[in-house]
Amino acid sequence: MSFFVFYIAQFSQQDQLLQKEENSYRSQSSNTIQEWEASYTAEKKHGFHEPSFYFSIYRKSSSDTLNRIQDERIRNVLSDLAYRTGNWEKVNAFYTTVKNTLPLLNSKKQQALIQELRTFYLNEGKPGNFIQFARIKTEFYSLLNISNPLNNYIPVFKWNSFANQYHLWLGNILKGDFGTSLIDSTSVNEKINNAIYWTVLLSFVSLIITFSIAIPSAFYCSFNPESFIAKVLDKLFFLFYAIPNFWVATLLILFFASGDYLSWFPTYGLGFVPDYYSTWQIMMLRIEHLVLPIIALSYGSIAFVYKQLRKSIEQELQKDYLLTARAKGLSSSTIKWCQLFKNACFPLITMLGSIIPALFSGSFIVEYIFSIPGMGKLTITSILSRDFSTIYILLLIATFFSMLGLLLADLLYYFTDPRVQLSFENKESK
Amino acid sequence: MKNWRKNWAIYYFLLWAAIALFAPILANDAKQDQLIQPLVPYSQSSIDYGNSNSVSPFGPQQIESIFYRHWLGTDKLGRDVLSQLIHGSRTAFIIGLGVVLIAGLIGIFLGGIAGYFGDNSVTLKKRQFSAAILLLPLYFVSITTVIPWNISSVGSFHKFALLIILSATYLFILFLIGKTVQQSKAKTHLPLDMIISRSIELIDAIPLLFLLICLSAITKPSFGGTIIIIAGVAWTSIAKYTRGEILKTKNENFIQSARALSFTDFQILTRHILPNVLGPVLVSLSFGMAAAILLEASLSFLGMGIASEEASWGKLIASARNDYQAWWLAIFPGLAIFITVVASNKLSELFQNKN
Repeated sequence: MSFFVFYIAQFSQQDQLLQKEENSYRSQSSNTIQEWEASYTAEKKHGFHEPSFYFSIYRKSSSDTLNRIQDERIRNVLSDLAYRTGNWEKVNAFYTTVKNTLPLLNSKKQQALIQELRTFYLNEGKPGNFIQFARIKTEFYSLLNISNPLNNYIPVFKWNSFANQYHLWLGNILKGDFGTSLIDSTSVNEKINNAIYWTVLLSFVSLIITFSIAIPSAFYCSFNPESFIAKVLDKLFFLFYAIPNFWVATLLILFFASGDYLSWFPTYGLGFVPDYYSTWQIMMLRIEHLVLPIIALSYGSIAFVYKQLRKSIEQELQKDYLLTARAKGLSSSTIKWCQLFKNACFPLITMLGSIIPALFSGSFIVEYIFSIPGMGKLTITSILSRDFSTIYILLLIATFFSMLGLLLADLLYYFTDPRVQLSFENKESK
Repeated sequence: MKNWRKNWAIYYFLLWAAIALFAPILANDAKQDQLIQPLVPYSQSSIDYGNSNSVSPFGPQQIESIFYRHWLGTDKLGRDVLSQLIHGSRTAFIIGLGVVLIAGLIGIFLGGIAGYFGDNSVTLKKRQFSAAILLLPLYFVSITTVIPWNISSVGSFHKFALLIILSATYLFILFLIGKTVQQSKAKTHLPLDMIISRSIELIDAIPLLFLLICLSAITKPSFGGTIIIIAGVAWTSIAKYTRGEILKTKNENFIQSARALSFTDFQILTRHILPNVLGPVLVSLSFGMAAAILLEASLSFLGMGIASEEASWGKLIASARNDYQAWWLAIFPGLAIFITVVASNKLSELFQNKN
């Protein structure tokens, strides 16, 4: 089932990506001939002049080559006109006339003209400036006389073979080429390569800290629920669970790093490493910079793991096999550590599946605040700069990792818990 | 008021709702001839030039009288923090309530269907089923190409009328096919539970915040958009919860007897099952409320989500990042978020204990 879901998720993702990438690309209108030429070669390179999918379906009055017109306003007016007249060939001929009368260098004028045409036929108002171009005028009036509304309701199906954007994009991804960024035209591979190291380091350290704090304290508190420490930890972790991590991160910087109160740690970044630093010195510098982010990243997951473990231990404590073990004469520490521990830890496997993506997305805010150049920071910056080709690759990777987490959790369950069966072995169990 | 320790969450929510409702009255730019004088004589965006550059709540302030004091300080531009806090509570309230309403409706509806009908309850005639599957691509093609979605000169009424006509035609054809087949023909089950559960898994597979940020990057910043985006991701947990509860309730004796008394499915669902699962569902709703408030604050903190002129707790905390000596910019909105989230969790505990 996981594979099935994975397959579909990937498909939907990629489809979206294409749309967005196209849109962002189109919205950049070109004004000078150089810009136009540059964008045209880019278009050729990305294959944007190709249709977007293996087949295209469109109205008979419209065309699937509309995406080649870069300017959004012109495109909208043309598709409006096509819908009104129901005849794409005539509209296209009219657009060619406009292009010939007002060549590319004047694309601002082209836009203005198109805008006037639009207000003219929408409001049925007076003809404006465009009347000075006699040829355009006559063609436009003859265009308005055509009316073939039936064409609007006839869908046309066209097979595009493999020369389409989706095929190109998917092929590149499978080859390991994630394309280039729309903003600074560096390769996305390079961006991700630089970023992933810090995210993995941060997530991994915080994962280890989470488990090494949450597991012992959860067991201690469950076995001694009346003790003072248990009561304090219960309250503390309940509070931890509700505190938003961007608040904690801001407060940590405010009070421990800003220099106005305590300046124990550097504010943000990873520090500058001079050439003469030894490995030890570099390590200390990095640790100094990573202490606060790791605290901000871990406290929430500690509370989460603690809460889940407490619940599962409480459930296990009420089961009969403990009574049986006691009746057999086993000592209470043997029961606790040999029998209960294993069963109580099963939820940890589920958590492992959900913690992998949670650490990935949780590190957004923390990386953003402490400006650590990891995946989270990369995501935020590319979203804020509308760098869609990077965003959707990142989304794809994130989805892939969470799928991997789910799959890993399922497989771990299967190998550790003999009660779990795969669905093809037994239809009843999940 | 006796056991306020137990019920403080309820009182807090009432207070919060009151503040959110009366925010424009509590804090606005006071004029001399105004009938109701506000508690805070500053609106969320009014700039007090005398007290700009982050004035501390305890430090000296340049004010005419105590009435004009900034009780919680000002931010870098000189806007009153308390006023922004009050208007931010309005934002949080609208977002929280809106998300809970929309996500609750979707979640309870889909979760209820998935839990109650399961995989085997809804049967279709085999021919009807295969016709539905075969016609589905045709239906999608027609609603995407025949309806002029991208033509701005066509009114939205026209578009939706076309959508309804096409959908009705689709269903009518299926109905006709069902009529032509005899009753005794082979039947198949419509795996509603599988379809809904798999789609929930699909949405849950993508990291939540990532999906939200990507979606809010595409849409324009607004209240409605933010609510819909958060609700579109948050309904899955409510649906899962509802489904689980209904699965538990479905096989109880009183449902069996209701079925024996030949009540319709609709009656059983709405009159017998839903009232019984409402308590646990309320638990998940109040968790959803807390999650929505947190998500909205995170989005505003990152500079996405609601429009830039609206106040939000997350935005206030974000402004604290730009001047670190102003602790009041971070502490107060953070406390507001924190208390609200704790209160939501407490509320869910109350609901849990009631059952």
